[in-house]
Amino acid sequence: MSDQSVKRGLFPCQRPGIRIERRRERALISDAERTNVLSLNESAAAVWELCDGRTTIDEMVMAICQVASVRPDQAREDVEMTLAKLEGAGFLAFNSGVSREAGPRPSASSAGGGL
Amino acid sequence: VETDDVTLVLGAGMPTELEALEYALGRRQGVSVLGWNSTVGGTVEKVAALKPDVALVCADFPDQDGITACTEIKRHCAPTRVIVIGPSRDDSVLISAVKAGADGFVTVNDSVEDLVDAVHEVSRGASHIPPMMLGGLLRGLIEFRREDDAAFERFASLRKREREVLVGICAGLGDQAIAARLHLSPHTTRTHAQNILGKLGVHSRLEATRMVFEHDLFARFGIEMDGLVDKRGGGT
Repeated sequence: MSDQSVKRGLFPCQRPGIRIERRRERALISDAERTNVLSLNESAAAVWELCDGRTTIDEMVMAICQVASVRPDQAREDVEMTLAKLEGAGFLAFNSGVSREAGPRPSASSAGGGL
Repeated sequence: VETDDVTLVLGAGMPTELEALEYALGRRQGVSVLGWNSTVGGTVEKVAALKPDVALVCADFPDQDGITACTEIKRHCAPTRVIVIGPSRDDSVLISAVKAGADGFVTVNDSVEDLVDAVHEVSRGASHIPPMMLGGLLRGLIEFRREDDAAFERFASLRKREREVLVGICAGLGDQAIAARLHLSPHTTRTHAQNILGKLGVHSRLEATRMVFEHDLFARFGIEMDGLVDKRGGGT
């Protein structure tokens, strides 16, 4: 069991000012000063895009299983590993109890569309 | 046809699209085009008759959309895998394709190499989604599931009589006809209809009908359209 499993009821949320640069099969996530940079594969980049402060890990796992031929436990492990990596790099925080309607949206600079 | 080839049936609305696809794919090793058609119905029939490994269907046909072709192929020709070719800047087509059971999606901007890769990937049992569109797809599926849960809860709050009136609304009947079938007064029927819209959180009967069919609510609650029969009784 990964450390992220205790955060299942929380809402992963991109920190403000984080930039994403899309390449064909990779995405580079960095802070404004580019002191911290992470290279993500396509699945991890998709998980990053879902970190809007109103989507749970369970929802991410269910959606991934609907699209890819992957077992739920494997999908969960992958999602939790990605989130741990993003949190460790300081790009991500976990919110609790944010209402869907009022939940924070990703900032314009980090909404996943590339720069 | 080489025995190891991945076999294909193509479906696209424009003859030029079909010719281009057939020309491009027919020259690649490892794939064989068995047939093609330019209508949804014809494509589904071809797939049923030729049983290819993969059906490659464009999202646009003149008669119906390619999503319908995908749904029909998955329903009637289950072993055949389906790839939909659609726009790159509109997640809604991709989301509809995945909801219809598509195994892969290729955009009109992708190269023939990408298309061939997708065909091989999908024929091996994997799925193929353009990497740049994966986030939007997952977001769309999550939003749909939330709407689905909300629609289910709202429908569950309807009383038995309201569900019966809703069946009439979804069948396209007017207040008079619904009232006659359910032995109600038109006034009572209208009151039920207003209450139904309020409970479902929609503003019109058309919206209510769309919600019912989009989320398959009658089937999920064991309600049949014919004869206004509610198998489970349900309601309060």
